[in-house]
Amino acid sequence: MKAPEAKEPARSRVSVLRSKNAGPYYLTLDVVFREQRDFDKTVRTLRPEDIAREYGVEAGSVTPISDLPALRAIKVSLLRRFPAGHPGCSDCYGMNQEEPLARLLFQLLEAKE
Amino acid sequence: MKTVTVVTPTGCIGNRGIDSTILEQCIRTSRPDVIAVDAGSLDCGPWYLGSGQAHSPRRNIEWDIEAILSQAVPAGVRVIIGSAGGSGAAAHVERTVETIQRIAEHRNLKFRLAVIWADIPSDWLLNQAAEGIVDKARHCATGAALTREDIESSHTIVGMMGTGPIIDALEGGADVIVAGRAADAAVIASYPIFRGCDKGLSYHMGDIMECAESCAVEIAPTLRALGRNRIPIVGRIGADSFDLRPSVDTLACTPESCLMHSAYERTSFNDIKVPEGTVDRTHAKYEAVDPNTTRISGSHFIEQPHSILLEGVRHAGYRSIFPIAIRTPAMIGQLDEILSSVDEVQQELFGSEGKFKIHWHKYGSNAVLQSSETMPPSHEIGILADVVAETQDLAHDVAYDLLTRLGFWRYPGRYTTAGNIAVTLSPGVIDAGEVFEFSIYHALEITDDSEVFRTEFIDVG
Repeated sequence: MKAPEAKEPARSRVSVLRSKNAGPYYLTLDVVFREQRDFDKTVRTLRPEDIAREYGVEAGSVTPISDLPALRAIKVSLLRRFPAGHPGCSDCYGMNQEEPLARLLFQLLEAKE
Repeated sequence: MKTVTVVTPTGCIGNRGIDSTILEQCIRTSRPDVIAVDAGSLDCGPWYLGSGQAHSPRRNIEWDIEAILSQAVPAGVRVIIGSAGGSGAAAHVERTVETIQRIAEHRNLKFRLAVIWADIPSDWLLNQAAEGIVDKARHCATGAALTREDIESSHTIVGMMGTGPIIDALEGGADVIVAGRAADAAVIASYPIFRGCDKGLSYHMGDIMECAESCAVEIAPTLRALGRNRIPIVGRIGADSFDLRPSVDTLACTPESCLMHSAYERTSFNDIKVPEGTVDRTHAKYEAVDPNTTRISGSHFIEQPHSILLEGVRHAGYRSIFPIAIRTPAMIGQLDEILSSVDEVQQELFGSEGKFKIHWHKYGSNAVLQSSETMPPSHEIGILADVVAETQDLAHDVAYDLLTRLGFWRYPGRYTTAGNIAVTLSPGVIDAGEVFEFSIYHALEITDDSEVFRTEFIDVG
């Protein structure tokens, strides 16, 4: 089951939520949180296998989630379904692939522990 | 040690453009030793490397190169352009050299030009394979070995150079260097390393500056008001640290913005891998010097066996496309079934003529996220049909037939008996030419840069 579409107030919890190619084979996702507790909770609970499910790729295609506490930022990368610019590819530069992560993240942040 | 000053005027030559007034002020006030700038990317897909075409508009490229040369050369500032022409293969480098020669003539500029070619002849690579040298080469994303078939099927192959060939060109007295495919950070790090600066700091500086103002934040709105809105970044590197500052006061390099740029287009926050080794940033310190400037220290370089990324593409057919739109709820409700039915019919009708594949991009449905989309389709769907076939002629006919077939497809409950779709363009189908796909994306250990990268000196003017 994929996470539901995120509601507007949840989106204000992040100052950056972006996707981009990291070379033509990888998509990389960055999030910067406004609040320390949201960053902490995400680092504690977000799992690469959840990312794999939202993005419809194999779990082995997702890197470990890395964090940068100084910026309250996390990063995770995954193999693209199509390499950049191959026939069938929908987003050559990977600039608009953040939404599945948004769904997952805001569901996770709203959940009671 | 004297401080070395590098200006990076844009993240990519030809991309949105350099404001020449801002660049002129920047050069006058910061008095750089070198302007170092990248011109390429592989993220735009395999077509540019295969076709030899640029991934920026020709006018933009000429404006940027003219802005740089006309100000740097008279001021005695050296210029290094990396990944020239977009993909950094021979066709791209040649076009950049022609542009430079034309501008030099027009502006009456004289300088010693070094051209560094980055093409990898497949014969050379096959010889390396025969000697077992490429056995260790691995695909950088999938880990697959590099096969003879990968090499033989490739149309164009380039190698990504580090600082070595660029430093050699500087030692050869080059005023302006046009390098083929090169690591972005190496283009910026080369001159400081040539002047004796620390390799780790130089590469770290290059890694942050490579996309110009992308490593800075706006203190006051600036970029939206400018047409050519790439803003030069000034990097000053000394014995134990480097300072980064944008060339306008309304932008700032902050510790946070510099640190965040380390994440840009990279798979992790960890070390920066470059051809000669790795930049270890574990102990890097980021301190604000003033409201616009950040000082960075503490990174160091770990030397590793010299390894270059090989990038290759192969021919993958020819493309014809058409855009259409659908506003009829009954058809939108059955769209996936309809598209898969017409797919089947096309294979039955045209399959004996040659191989082809139809890719549907359904805007307003799932064109961006594809199978990861969870939202229902919109009231209006735009479709981009992308037909890739063995020949252009076949792609064209399959696409044209498809357009008409969709227009009159008798799906259950159809009431639009005069036709089903809004056809956007006339002619309806656009033949989009040759298609390429990646064939090689492997790291190869090499012993000597000069085996791979060849440098030529030209006295211009």
